Amino acid sequence: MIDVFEIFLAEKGIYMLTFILMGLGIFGMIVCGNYMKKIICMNIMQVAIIFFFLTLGQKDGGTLPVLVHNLTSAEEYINPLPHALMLTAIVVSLGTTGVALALLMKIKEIYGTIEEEEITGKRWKK
Amino acid sequence: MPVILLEAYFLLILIAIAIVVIFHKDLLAVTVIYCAFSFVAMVLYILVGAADVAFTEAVIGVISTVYFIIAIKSISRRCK
Amino acid sequence: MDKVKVIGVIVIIAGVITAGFVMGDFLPAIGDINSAPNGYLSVYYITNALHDTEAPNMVTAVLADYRGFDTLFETCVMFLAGVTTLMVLSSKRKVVKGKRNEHDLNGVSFGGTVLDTGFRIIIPVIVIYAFYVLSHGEISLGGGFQAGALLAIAYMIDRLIPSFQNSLGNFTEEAAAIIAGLGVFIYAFTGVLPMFNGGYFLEYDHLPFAFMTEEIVMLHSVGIFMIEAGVTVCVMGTIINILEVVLERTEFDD
Repeated sequence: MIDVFEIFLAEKGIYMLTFILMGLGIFGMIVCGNYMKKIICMNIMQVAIIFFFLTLGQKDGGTLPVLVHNLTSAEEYINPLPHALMLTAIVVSLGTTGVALALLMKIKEIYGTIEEEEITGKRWKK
Repeated sequence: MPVILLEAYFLLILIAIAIVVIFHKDLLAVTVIYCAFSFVAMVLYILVGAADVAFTEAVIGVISTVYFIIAIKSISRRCK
Repeated sequence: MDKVKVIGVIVIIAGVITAGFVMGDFLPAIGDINSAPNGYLSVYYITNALHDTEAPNMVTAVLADYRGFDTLFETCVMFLAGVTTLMVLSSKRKVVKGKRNEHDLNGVSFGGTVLDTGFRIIIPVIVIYAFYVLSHGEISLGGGFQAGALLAIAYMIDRLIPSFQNSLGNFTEEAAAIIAGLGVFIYAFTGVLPMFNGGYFLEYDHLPFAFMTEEIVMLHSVGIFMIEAGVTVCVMGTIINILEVVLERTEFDD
């Protein structure tokens, strides 16, 4: 029973949960009226995408991609290529957050609020 | 306990935290919860085997939380 | 547009994606050794990293050596993010409450005496650890990005607690942006340096430091270290830049 569950998780389940997390991030970016929350939801979506890339490099029984003397074959190490790509993606996400916060504070100065409803003057129809 | 079950467990925790972030009304609480989100994501990266990425995420999570808290000082804390 | 309609559309899209995953079989199973992302190029990276680049940490080898051109422009993106933040918030403030740089909480304690002293003790430890992470980046876990972020955290703690006479000093945001640009310059200069010696851009075999080492492979270590130093300086400058810009607009009234 537990084996079947693990195989289902490895083939479908983890991907489904990751995409649900990414969907929650996009949902929050659309629905939340507060710009601060939109930025935080953008970060949540980025974490989901980074995790999706990292799962592609996983290997059963592999160790960290740092060379050990008595292990030489390529099957012993986890794939280092997605790690190198996502390492820069995380740091760049910090830069995106900084630019978004600067725009947020500019909006606060000009409009006096960061609520989307009060800025556009429209409300959701009931 | 196999690693894949632990991954599913921590992903469920992440989903729960994301739901709380979307529907909570206090921005300071949301920011602190986002810090917790960042640390759970770090544990998840270690489970996948990406120790470098986990190190970066731990450091960057602290820095972005400080940014958010400083920004909350100049905007209102409540949201609708 | 109706809010319920938006939620409905999102639920439908999520349902289609989930159903697609359940029905289809187009992604490899997690942990599969023979899947497509684990074949081809990554096998070459794993088996030849030590021989080619003299770096046991394969992530650093891929990041700084095989794909050094990518990392150059990622560093440029960080620098541009800092400059953009500076440009967006460069205009005069509308409401002037208190003068500039008087908000650094002189005389106001951050978290009580014990916490402040604890943070002051932590700062040099963080700086030493950052240099350890920088210099061991190619041997063990770590690298330029982490070291820059750690240095920025040290500066951040020093900035947020009330300052003594022997603090790390105050960068203005323009100075921080210049420091970040200096990091990008170090990186690009490391790339240009082999071209004086008959090599291509970022080809470490032709770095003009051949008198220092016997083997030509050891030049890769020199090149990787110079690149990581540039990345460290750039990331530290950008984070300090954004921190200063955001902190300048904040009013600590309570």
